[in-house]
Amino acid sequence: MLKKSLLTALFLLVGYEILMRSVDAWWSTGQNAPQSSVVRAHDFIYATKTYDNIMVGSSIGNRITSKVPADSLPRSFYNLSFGGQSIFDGLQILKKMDYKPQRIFIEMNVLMRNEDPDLQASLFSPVMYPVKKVMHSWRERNQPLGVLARLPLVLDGNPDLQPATPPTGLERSEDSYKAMLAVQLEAQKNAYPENYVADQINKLKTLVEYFQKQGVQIIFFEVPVDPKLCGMGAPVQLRTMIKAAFEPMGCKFVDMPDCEGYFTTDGTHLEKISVYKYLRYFRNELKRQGIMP
Amino acid sequence: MLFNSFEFVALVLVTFGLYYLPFLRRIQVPILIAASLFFYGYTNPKLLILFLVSVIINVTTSYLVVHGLPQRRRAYATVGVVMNLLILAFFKYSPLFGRTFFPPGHSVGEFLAYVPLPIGISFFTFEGISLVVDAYRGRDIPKYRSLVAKSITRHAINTTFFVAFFPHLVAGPILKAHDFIPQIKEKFFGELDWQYCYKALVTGYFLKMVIADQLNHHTFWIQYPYFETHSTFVLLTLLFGYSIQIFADFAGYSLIAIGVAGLFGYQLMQNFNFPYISTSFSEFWRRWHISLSTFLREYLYIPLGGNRKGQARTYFNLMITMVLGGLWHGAAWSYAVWGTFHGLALAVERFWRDRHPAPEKPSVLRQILSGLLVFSFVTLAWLLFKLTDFGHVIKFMQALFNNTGFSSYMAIVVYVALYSTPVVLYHLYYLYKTHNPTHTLARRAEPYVYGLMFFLIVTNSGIGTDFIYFQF
Repeated sequence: MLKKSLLTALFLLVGYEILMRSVDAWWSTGQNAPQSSVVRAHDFIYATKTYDNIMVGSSIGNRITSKVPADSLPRSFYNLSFGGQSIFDGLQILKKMDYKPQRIFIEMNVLMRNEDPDLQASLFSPVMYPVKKVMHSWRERNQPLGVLARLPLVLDGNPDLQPATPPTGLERSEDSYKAMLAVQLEAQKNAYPENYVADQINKLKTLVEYFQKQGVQIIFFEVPVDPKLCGMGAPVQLRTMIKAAFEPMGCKFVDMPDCEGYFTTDGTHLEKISVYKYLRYFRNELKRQGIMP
Repeated sequence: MLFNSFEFVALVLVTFGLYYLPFLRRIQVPILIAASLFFYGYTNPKLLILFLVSVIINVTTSYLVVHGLPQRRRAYATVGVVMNLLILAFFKYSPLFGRTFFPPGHSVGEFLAYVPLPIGISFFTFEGISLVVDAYRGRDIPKYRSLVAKSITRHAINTTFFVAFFPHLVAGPILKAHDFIPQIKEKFFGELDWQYCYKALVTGYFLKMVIADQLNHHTFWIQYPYFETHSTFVLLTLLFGYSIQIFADFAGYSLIAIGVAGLFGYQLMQNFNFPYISTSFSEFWRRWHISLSTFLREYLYIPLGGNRKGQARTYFNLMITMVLGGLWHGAAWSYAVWGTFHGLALAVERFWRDRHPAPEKPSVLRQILSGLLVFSFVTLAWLLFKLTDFGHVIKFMQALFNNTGFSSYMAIVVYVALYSTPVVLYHLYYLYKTHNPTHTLARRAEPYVYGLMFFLIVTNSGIGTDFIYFQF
């Protein structure tokens, strides 16, 4: 029984590794938000290609590519924004990899969340990091049940290989949207204690200084949210304090556009239709400020 | 130290290597004690202080119960039980006491609110109680007399090992002194039952890492305020998913504990016996967290009088046992409510059965309906585990009724169904085996099923999370 069982496992492991090396399972992604973060990080960590522009952020910045085809940003961009995580996660990954892009774009919306030590530990585990580098079948993206669950998507073809179709209409459920917006309004109406924000800014300053010394240009950007939230206590406070701290350090800013006319799924995350709108604004701003041609 | 961490695997391998060296055979138990103390104090060595204090109390009181002055046996046993309960009460229930009985900002309330909860305290204090009570019962039960060795040193070593043995230390199964201490003797590599260990470990790790850890990130949506945004259908799916997750998490943990203990030649009691096939609440509690339910029966329900003092008293004893069993899980009133629900279910079921005895051979339809009723009730009650704020439980129930018109996020449904299926099959396979004792085909397929599970542990594990029962 033992021998048969172990041989079965070995056979499946070898067979699946061969399969994953011969098939690009583009349709498979993370099966949940934390796993999607790991997949996005792995795609970056194990990539053979290098990127000049890196975005770091939370689920708010994550939408900028995850909900639209890859051609929404220039190919030189990689978005290291993670759902449920913070800007510090992306920055720590870059630091651990000793990665020196030309520019780092830092999302301003969610400053108060800290990096996730478990995510960092799992990405750079002394055992699993080298193993996953070699074994494609061991990476989260290629989990057999995940590949199986999303197999029907193969019928639609890889969206990254097709021209992007401009979205029309809203995806959101109005009831869900209203319920979550009410929660967000309550959560963001008051400013944070000043010293909490100061501590986060100091932590971020250390990282910004580190990257600036490596010759990396730092650009802050703020993604528009629901018009009702834009002027709330918490976002106004963060906006003001971040600008006051980092403008003197030579950092550039892509200010948040007027929130009117932007739609969100739940108050803070942009609808696909608004992601496109924001991207047009974002790219125009980069040109206008001479940050990118 | 988590069972699903590389540190744990390294600890087991090193301990295993030393344990079976012929020239170290005489110190096998001290080797396991050292490994267990390392395991327990790995992330927070300060925890060892309280743990060792608890051990000293149990060594002393149980020794005195057997070898002290005969007229004081009861007093020693009482002191032992009370000390264990005081340790448990102070460290586990101080925050609840502080929040409930003191106004916000009150210095005593603030102090109590920040008393830390040492991991595993609910388990090792219960094991201490088991030792003291079993030692006391030795007067009436001959086989219990050997539980306390004549030499205080030997007794201290046995007791420390019984409580500290790392596979069960932080989340059970809750050992009983009369089950475990008689097993303490030299073990030989040649006597190892590899198949038993392999099956327990593979099933345990599969349930934990592939099922529970994957479901964990979907059932996350049961948290407030996220459930507000989901449709009734998705909310019901999530409840079902959490029911499967909590089983996979805890049964997985227990099986890993059983498998690892087996590697060192020790048998821990089965903690789960396919609970979701239960067709009655009493059957559920004979199959779910068996080590806790048997502990409560032996050390609480029966001493209270069990069912020997009339019907009304029986219902009362059931209620009190289940409420306390609920509170054992955590310092929140929601756990007491959860226990009350189960106590009520047991009492009502008993009341009904006393008046309407079940037929000798119930029909298949009747069994299926009973099974669905029990599963639905148990699943709904788990909500009190997931949402310890009672206000959120009420909001969830409101959402369950109000969100009928919401559109459903089908990805959640697909993944919950995908990862729940193996647990459903696991229970169905057990039913099949029960009704087909020969089940030749299934037996032939077993090695391949274990091989598949092994493969999925390696390639399809979720992001590692704490075991749910660590918080208890």
